[in-house]
Amino acid sequence: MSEQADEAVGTKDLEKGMRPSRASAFATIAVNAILLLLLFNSGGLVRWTQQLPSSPVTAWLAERAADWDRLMHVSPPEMFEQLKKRLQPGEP
Amino acid sequence: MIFPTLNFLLFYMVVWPTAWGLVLAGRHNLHKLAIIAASYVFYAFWSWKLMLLLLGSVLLNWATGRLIGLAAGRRVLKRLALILGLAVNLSLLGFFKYYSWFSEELNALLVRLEVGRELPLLEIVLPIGISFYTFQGISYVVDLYRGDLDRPRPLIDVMFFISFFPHLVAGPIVRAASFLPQLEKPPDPGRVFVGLGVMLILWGVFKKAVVANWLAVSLVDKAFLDPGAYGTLDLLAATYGYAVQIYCDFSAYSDIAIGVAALLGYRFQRNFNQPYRAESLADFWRRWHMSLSSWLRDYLYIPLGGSRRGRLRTYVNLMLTVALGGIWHGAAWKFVIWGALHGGMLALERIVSRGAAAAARPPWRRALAILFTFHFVCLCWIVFRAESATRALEFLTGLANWTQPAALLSPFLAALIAFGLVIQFTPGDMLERLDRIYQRIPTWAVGVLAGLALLVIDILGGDSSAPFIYFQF
Repeated sequence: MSEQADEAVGTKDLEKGMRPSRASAFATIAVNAILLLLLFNSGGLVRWTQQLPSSPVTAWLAERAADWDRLMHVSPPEMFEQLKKRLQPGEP
Repeated sequence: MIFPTLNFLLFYMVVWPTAWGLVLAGRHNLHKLAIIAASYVFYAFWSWKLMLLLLGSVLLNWATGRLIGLAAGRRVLKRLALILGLAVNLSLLGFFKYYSWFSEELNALLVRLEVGRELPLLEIVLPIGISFYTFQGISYVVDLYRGDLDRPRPLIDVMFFISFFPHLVAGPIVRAASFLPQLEKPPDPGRVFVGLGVMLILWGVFKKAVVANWLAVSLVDKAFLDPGAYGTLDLLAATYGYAVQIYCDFSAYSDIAIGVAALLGYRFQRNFNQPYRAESLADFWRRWHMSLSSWLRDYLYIPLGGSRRGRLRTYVNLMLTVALGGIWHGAAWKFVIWGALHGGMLALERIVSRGAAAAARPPWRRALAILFTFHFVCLCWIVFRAESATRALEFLTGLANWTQPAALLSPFLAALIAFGLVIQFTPGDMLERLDRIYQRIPTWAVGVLAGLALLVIDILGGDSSAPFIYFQF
């Protein structure tokens, strides 16, 4: 019985009384957290690219980050208008 | 590369899936090699040249371990191998960390004594993390010598143990006997303390980016730079502020390190346990930088004789151990004074408490003991933080300057100090309780909550940031 209990929860130090999970749980957590940061903290990405040493690759990265940041600043009504324009059939 | 940055996030997002991918593919040695390579990349962000010194330290301790293994059964040879390993380890640490200070102090003394000879002054760069990885190397050879480790480990394991990036530059100081057995089989992907890892990382990032940074930039740095310009309120706030800052700064690094290692399936021991609720200085040292204090206890205090060789020797051993613990922090007289103050008080506590009944004290006495211990620790922090002894004296004198109105202290900073002190008294099983909540929430929602927490930290954290204090040690 004690062996079963040991398997179910942590027994040492900080882990004591905690339940282990599958490692893959962290992948789900990280992906969701990063998506949220990309959506709401696109400015942070721009600031990071500005601190990188200059090279063609980092310049390209900085441009993409700036594009992404601009996209994140489009308001929902504007986004709706742009979507509408794209989806509407062209003038005959 | 430092922890709470996008650089580290990207680095970890490559290392984590690679490490687990290799475990799932059944390639244990490749998994170890991948983590070793990642650790050297992590270190090379500071200096690739000093990376060679780290490699040298690994090779030295591995070779010493082999020698100790080969000398099994021959006591003198085994002891010689240990002494050789310790001497080279300590010489490297001494040269890189203390030579400049020692030569300057000695030359000043020689000039005063009007002796013509001088030691050459060298510009020596302090390799980041040298105090931490040297102590870990020593832990490997001593644990082997004592038999706490059953046999010398292969180079790949010694390399992994000493260079593992979560603890490499600012601890916790991981012990060979508790970590190396974890490398015998691959970490189990079905048994990872993900909740613990995520909580510790978020908590650490909050403590560093919000509490420690704000206190450093807006209060502590300014007050310690020019104490004469501020009055009692500001200097008192800066004293408490530094106590909270250094705790939130260093414990944050440890928490993130423990969390990052836990997500890779490895276990470090805790490094802090609410130190400002300590009821005595001995209790404080059982709660503050626990990996260093237990290292000093097991590898210095006990070999010196501990408390087994009479009262006087016990006090000397205590003083010596804590004074050396002080110098471990850096090559400066202020660290010697700081260590001596702590050592002196520990010896005094021993004298006063000798023969006293260990019965539970009434709550008011416990509260008084906590207050006294906290204020003694704060007083010592002034010496620790001040640029020089003169500046520390100026700071202490300024604490009586009641005429000056508060120029630095704001309600926000006062709230941060209060927060830093209140968290010392939260229930001891807080992480366990949070883990129970974590277990009830769907994993995707934990991710969203973690993302929201990071956004809140980014908002509260402000733009300026202070470097991790313990990087300089």
